[in-house]
Amino acid sequence: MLRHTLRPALRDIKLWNLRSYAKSASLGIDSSVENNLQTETNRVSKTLQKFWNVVSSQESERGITITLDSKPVRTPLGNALTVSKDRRLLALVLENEWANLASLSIKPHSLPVTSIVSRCIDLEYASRPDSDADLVAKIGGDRAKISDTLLRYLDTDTLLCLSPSAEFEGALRAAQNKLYLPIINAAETFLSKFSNEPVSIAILDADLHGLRGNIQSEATKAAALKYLGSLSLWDLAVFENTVLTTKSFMCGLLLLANKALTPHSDLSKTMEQLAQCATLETIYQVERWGEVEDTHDVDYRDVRRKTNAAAIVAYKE
Amino acid sequence: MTVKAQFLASYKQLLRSLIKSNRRSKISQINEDNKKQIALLTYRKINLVRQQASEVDSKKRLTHLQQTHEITKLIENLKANDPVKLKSLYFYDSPSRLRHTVLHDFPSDQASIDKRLQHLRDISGFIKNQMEYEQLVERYNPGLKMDQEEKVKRTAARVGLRVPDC
Repeated sequence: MLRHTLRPALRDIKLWNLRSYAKSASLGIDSSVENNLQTETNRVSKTLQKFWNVVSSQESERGITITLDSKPVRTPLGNALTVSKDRRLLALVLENEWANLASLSIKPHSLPVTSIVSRCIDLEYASRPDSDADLVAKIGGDRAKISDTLLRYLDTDTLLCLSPSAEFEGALRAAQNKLYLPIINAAETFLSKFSNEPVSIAILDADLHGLRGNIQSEATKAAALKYLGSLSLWDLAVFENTVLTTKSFMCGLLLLANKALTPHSDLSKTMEQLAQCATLETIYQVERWGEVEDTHDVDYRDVRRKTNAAAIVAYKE
Repeated sequence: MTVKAQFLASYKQLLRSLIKSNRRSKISQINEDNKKQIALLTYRKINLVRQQASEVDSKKRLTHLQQTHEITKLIENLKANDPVKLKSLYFYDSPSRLRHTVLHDFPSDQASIDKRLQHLRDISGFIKNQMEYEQLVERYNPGLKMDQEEKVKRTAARVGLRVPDC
């Protein structure tokens, strides 16, 4: 009996480890063996132990730095975890995150905001002309490469693939039409600012196109690349994070448009609406077939915690 | 609703979610701390008992005995100390800083006000979802929180063995 109940649990542990490593490798914490920089984030990810007593923050001219026992928290590349003064609440959230780790052994998923902010800071460092090329390569800090990878998401974007109307008695397609089409239209006008001619985004309509890939035109790609080029490195890191979470280029665009200094009214969405857009198909599948334990419920929270975290990092006074 | 009332409502919501998620982590932090303390005290107690056994001077034996009693009392106190009952965990550590950051220098134009309110909602949304996510991960992966001793015990049990009690 005991054997029977234990086996799935042990199998899950292994699966979980694999999954979390795959995720953490792309963002923030560097889990590779060869990175032995003595930084706080590395130390935490290697020993998985808490080694400090007091978490606080120090304000200087450069911004607000999060400190552990009065030593600054450092990112995987060894930069101090510092946020500018127009991101006061972000500093508070970071401090709260370090002060309230639920268990003393730290898991890669326990510090999501730190992970995004670290990526932002390290990308900014990587873009400096005097940065070490090896370190830049290690975190994948080449801006052109990041943009190219992100651009591929625009072809197979969640918000651009519409289901056949036969599925779910047409309910899913109706919801997609209602939610996605206005966003696509607004995104087209938004991206047109980065091109000489009006941009049109190719949609994969399962009714018309059936099963085939979706490819954006060269003009659209050029406009999207120009948009990515116009982002600050901080915003690019947030954008990257959002796209990887939602599997959607459009969601990244939506999130940044909402947090920009002058928000675009026709792209206005709350983070809950954004998460719903990204998981619309799952919502209907769960409604029809039921919720799968350890999958749907975990993913539901995962998408929401990550998009909210990205939104917090993107916001600026 | 005035601007201040709107911010106050968001502030309260943020505070609630912060307290709820922090309480959970504080409880496990205090429990871990207590466990460490108890292990340390037990070690000292064992040493004292040994010293006492080898001591010939009866006066010194008496002081040793007293110290042992004190340590036993401390251990019992620690064991009885249940952080779930702690009332202080229903309050936020440093509300003044948060209040100052949230409830001062309101922006003047409506767009900035809406944006900042949305920002506050994002933060409480993040804190709530992060907590729920961690709870789910822990529930589905009980091995994550198991200590080494427990893991060894269960691994042995899988092949029908039992770890000897020490």
